[in-house]
Amino acid sequence: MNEKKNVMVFAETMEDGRLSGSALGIAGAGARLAALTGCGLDVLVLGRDNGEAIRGLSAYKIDRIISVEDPFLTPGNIDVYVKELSKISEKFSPSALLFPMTLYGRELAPRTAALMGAPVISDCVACDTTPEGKIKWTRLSFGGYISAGVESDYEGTRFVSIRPGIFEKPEKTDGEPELIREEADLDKADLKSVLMRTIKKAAQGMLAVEDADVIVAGGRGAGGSAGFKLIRELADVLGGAVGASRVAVDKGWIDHSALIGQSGKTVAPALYITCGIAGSIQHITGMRNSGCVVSINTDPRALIFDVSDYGIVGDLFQVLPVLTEEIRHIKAS
Amino acid sequence: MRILVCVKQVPDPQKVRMEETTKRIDRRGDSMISPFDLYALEGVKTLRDAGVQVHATAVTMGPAQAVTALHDSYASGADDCLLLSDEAFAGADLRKTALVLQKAIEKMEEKDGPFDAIFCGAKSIDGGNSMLPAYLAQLLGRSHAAYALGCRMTGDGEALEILKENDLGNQVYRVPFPCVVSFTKNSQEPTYPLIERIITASSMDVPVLNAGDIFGDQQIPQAQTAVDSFEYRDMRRGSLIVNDKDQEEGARKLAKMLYDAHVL
Repeated sequence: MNEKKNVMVFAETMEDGRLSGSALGIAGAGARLAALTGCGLDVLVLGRDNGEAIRGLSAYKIDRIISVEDPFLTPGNIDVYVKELSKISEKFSPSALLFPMTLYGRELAPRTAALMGAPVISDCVACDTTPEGKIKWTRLSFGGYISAGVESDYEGTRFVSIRPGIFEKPEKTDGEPELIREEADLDKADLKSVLMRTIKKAAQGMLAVEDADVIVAGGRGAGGSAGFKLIRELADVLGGAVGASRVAVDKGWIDHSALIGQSGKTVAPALYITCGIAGSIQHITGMRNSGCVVSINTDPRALIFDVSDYGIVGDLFQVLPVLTEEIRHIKAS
Repeated sequence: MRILVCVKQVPDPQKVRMEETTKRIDRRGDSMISPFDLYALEGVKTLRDAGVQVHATAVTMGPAQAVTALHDSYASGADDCLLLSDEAFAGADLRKTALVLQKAIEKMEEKDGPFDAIFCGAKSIDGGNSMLPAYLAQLLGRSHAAYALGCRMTGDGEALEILKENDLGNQVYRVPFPCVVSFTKNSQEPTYPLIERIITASSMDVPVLNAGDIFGDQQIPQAQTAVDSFEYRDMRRGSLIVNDKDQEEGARKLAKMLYDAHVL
């Protein structure tokens, strides 16, 4: 096993070059693995302009930041992105290469691993050593019902995909990571799937569910945009994000990016408040690891109450205005 | 055009158990076709409805009882089916599964000609990796799109136009043939299968390929990751539910409970 080689973390960045919400947490997972295996921590950034990402990472205890810049390195050009990633991985030969289990990470990790002939351990939430000194990753399946410890004997670079929002960020540092700038070595002929157009959304700049410590989520009971207006007011008072179940998204009451559940995002905020959500397994899958779950539903037998710490049987149109106002008072005093 | 639809039989998530000795998912209990696979099959229907002639083959890798996922696939529009089954495939991880599929696809294409597209569900609800289609696409060297909401042929007939929804907005990709596309749930329920096809499916003989058929004399790939331990987590929470006739008063009570619990 390549114990002297560093752990490398792929830092996901947005179109505009900022670090994505998951990036520092994945770096934290890398820090944990590096500590357990007694090696250093590298963070890899690929993009058009990595300045802001590098600044964001430099405040943390990272040994090296490896930066590759090229105008063609955008998430939309994933075929080219993957090839470049695999070249870096070959060159630096890290003991492990960590990815976020985001929509994008779920494409990058397996494709890069396939190019390298490596297995992938995915959706990991914890990292420990076994009594024999091997690394064991814990992953959750079946919506968190089954927790499994996974090990690997693979001797090449271990590809691991980390669930966002679970690991703490790395420690801060006064020092500076070493910055290594690598030349991109792209072949545009590698590009197969071509992004033709993006129909951008109107609402930008709102707190994303994957970045929030508090989420207030709406479901069928919200009934429409009026219900979501009340939901947003509560979210605002709590400094949180607005989430949604499948029904609300399908009916167009809120954007797809708010979807939490089996076909949307998996989140684990400190506080998750559901409003008019029944609690189907598809939704619960996405939020059941939340710190504290509070639910509002008119049906006392709604399944959501089984996975809630607190709740109220009631109509969100009556409950939310009062709840929001009470919390506003509490926070003001 | 020829489309291969990869499907998976998964345990009912409400009843799933693990095997104590092998530390693998017990696949003998109640099971179902992974719900995302139905959206892959719906992708085939979308193309057919638009006038494209499609021959669709459904394939799955699994134990003998996985054949029911193929029956469901036939009922939902697959023309023929194939089961890849062998003791040697049990406990396959992501890479091993992709390698077995890759080899089987090679064999199928040798025999019947190339697949223009391979459709999959975006993820299976057991492992829930959502990584197999991407891994397979890279092994095959084919273009790839994940989390498709819908598809249609491009004007020149050489690619699929894939609609994806992600945090940046709706995005449209041109994905040239031969391609691998995985489908996620969209706002429309998949078409309910025709009764006649359900009936035919239940008694159909599905051909089986075993490890020898697929790999011949070559070595069967080994899994490089394994589950070493597992535990069940009781996800229910003890809940304190306010149920007052006066809902506004109840809301005030709830706010106080949350404050007292230091949750706010």
